Amino acid sequence: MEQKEIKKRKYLKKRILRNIFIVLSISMLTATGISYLYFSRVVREQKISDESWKQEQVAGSLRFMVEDIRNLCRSMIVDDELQGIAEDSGELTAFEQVKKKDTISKRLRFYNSLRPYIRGSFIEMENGEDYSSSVSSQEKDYLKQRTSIQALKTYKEHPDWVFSDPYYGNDTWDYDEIICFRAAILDKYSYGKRIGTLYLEIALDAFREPAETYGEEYENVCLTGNEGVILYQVNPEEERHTIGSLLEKENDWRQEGVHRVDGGYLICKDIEDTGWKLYTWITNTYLRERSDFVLKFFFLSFVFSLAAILLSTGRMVEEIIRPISTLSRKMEETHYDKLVVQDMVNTGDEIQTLYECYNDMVEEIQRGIDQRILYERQQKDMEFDIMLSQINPHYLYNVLNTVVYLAAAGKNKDVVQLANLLIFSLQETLRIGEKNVETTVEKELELTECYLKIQEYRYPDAFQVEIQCEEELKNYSVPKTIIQPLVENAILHGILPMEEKGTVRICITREEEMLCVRVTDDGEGISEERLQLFRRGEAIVYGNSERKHIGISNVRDRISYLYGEPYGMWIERLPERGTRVTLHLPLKPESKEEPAQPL
Amino acid sequence: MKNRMKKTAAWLLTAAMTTGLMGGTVTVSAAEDYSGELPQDYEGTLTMWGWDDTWYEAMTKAFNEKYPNVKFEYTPMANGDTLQKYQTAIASGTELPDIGWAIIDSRAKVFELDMWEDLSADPYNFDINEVYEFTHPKLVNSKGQVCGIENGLNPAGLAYRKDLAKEYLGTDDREELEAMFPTWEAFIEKGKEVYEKSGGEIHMLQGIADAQQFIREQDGKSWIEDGVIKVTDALQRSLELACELRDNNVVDKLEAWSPAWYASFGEGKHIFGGCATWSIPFNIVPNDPEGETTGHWGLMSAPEGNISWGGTTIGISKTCEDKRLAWEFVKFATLSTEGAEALNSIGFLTSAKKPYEEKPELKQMSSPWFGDQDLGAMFMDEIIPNIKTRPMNFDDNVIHETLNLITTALNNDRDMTAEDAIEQLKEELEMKLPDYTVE
Repeated sequence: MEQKEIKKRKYLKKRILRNIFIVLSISMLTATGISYLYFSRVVREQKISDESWKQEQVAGSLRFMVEDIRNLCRSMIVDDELQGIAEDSGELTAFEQVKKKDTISKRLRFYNSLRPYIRGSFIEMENGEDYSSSVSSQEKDYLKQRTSIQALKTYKEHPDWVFSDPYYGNDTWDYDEIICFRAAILDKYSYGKRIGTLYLEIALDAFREPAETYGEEYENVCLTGNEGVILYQVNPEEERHTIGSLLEKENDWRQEGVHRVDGGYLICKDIEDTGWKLYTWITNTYLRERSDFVLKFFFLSFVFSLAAILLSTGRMVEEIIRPISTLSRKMEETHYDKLVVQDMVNTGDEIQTLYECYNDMVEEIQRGIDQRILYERQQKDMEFDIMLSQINPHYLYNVLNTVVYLAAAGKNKDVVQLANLLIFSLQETLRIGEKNVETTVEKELELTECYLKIQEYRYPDAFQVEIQCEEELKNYSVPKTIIQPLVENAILHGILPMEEKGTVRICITREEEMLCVRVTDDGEGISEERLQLFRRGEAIVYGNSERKHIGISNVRDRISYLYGEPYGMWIERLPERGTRVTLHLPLKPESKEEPAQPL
Repeated sequence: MKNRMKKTAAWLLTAAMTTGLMGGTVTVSAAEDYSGELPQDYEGTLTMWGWDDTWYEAMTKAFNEKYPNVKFEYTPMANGDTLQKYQTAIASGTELPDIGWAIIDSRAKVFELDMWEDLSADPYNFDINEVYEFTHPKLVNSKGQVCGIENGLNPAGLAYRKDLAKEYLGTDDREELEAMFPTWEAFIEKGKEVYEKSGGEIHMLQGIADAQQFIREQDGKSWIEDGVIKVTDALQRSLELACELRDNNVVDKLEAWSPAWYASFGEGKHIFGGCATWSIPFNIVPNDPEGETTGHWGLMSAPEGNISWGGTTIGISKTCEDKRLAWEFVKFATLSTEGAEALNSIGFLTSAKKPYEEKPELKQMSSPWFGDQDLGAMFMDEIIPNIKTRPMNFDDNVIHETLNLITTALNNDRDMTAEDAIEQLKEELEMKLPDYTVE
């Protein structure tokens, strides 16, 4: 039971490690969390800064394109053939007009072919003439129809716009969206005098491309033109996630800079010289993905550090508490009948002290136990001696009463005989070595017979005795003076109170590896009251006697002292009359130890 | 690019190893045998500049079904810009397309640019007799090199609006109409009546250029012969008839190829219109959505005969880095039966003979816009056999362009006579082509 309770206890190592783990985890988690938040903020800021820089690059390439377009326009405007438009002022025949238009158309086509992104060009002169690079340019109302496209009409209404809004042309080969760029044609002879306007139609895709390339790696990129019209946008099918829908919510977000918006950041970049803006919506998810490595790094370093610390701490703790564990285990295994002093440890600390104290304590306890055993033995011997000393006066009292009676009757021979018997009896009774309280069945029976002879003197023809004992049992050991008090009790308290002659039977047998001694009488029989006293382990007191009749109780107590369970003494009242006393004794062969010395 | 270089390197390595293994008895040119087919998982990219999206989409899609790992990069351009674009690329040393297109108008000059692989030579060894004879003169340059193969046949007759014909000419039956217009003169006479009957609303044709262009191609006379530009012989009648058509309001005033001209196909104000195979998907289908259900178009032979109108060749540029693949595509698009099937699906007819032998049904061609008329039979059996092909000359495009200006001028100036026009044409050609005699 005690052992189980010990097992249920928590182990010191586990407890220390668990506490270290908890404290370490919390502190490291806190430190890691703070570091992660800090670094992810740094990464986020860096990312946003990178985005701004990338946006700048895209804006740069768009600006470069615009500059390229501007330069091309300049080249076209100063081209001799195109400048010649204004110079031919005379009346022209129909063919000459057609030819002039064709010449200019070809010249415009030539310039168009210099840039792959130019889809067409046309010139509107202040005098109402118009020229186009289109092969349809000879058609009378061709350009009027073209410029009636809403985007171009709006463009003309806004002289501050650099580009028009996107539109689809009406020629069959106008397959993609175009935007228009214009440049004033000034009179080369008169400063500041506008004589016409050159319009270049440019494939919007040319502008979309840098934004598209840039947009490939982002969730949402948007290029807006005049008054926020969307020129390019990633994921336009997911309406509510587009920058367009975002910009509708808050007009301030159209200002250049970084804006904090729902679920992320909106970076707005003005593209100079175009009136356009480039937006990048960096969502928190995107940032998280990008700063994911920081989280992974911190998580892994947290796990590794924790594992390493726990492992090394575990080892250290184990080293430190091993002597304690050993001591604890040894102490668990310790029994008071087997106290063992531990090997000393030399840690030079409290543990060594613990060992020293434990060993001292064990030695102290062992000493205490030894002393107690010695003390108990001495006490037992003393009690035995007292018991013997209780027997002798009682016995002597009875015998000497008889001697007095015989002497009074003048039976001198009988007195001599009786005195010899008494001497023999005392000799045998008091033949006690220091550690020898037993005798053989044979000698005990001799002693009993001696006693009976003495009693016959005292109570002639009052009783008869039958003794049964197998020969082989006679050499077995029994405590000294163990049968005689029973016989004495049977005669004195069983038979003598009756008027008639009684019989005492002594029967010694071997039963179930025990030596069984039965003393039966056919006397008065023990009273129920006395039987109860006996069963409660108390001394039995008889009649008006002033002294206790302690013979029977003495036998019982001696058997109990000497052998304990299951040996002992039982008294039973026989159904018809008489009493039977049964002794169960260990079956011990005669001891060959030192022969007892007579006193 | 990288892939292509790897591919080339792999070819060279294979060739070198083969040569090495066989003890040098096989020459490297053996690796350049273009007659077989490419492995189906062949990878590569081909670039093209062009103006016919329908053809491009259909053909590359069909080619990709056979060679799924081949990619195409397409840059649209107006066909009128072809010469300009190629010259700019050559002069500036920038990249030319792998597959070069050439429109008939400027083809003679474009073919003279030193940018074409000769398809009749090694390693292509294209036999020109694989395609219809009447296309042959338009596939070669002045050195006899085959610079491209027609991406389809371009026979042209007259398309007519059945509803208008019935109303103004009394019949929508093809044969009756053909009988009604044996000559352009008869056409003019009827045209006058139609104009008057309709209160000036309905014309026979859209513009003067349409008439002039059709008429001038009918007799197949070469514009230049032995250093002489044959204005009188080859062009005079077409200009005279054009003026007559104009003066009698038989033709409208639309400038060919302008947005208004395209739109007119759906407006129902012109009974007739020149109609080549490509005119149906290019001009009629996109501009006349109503015609799909009504099927109100018919195809007939023009007065005084039909023509070959337009046409685009595809060839291989010298700068092409994967000529083997380019040739596979050209072969597929122009000579193979699979290519012919793809063409047929968009209402085109292949110029190669073999596909029709293998699959005679390829000659069949129909369109909901033309009701149940067998257009294939009409083009193949009635129009093509009687086409007179005009031989190509290097400076044809100059004459062509000038003629366009003249017709525009005739259109713009109703007082300008046929004589004025011919005079102006001669004067202009003498100025632009001083090395020629103009007659």
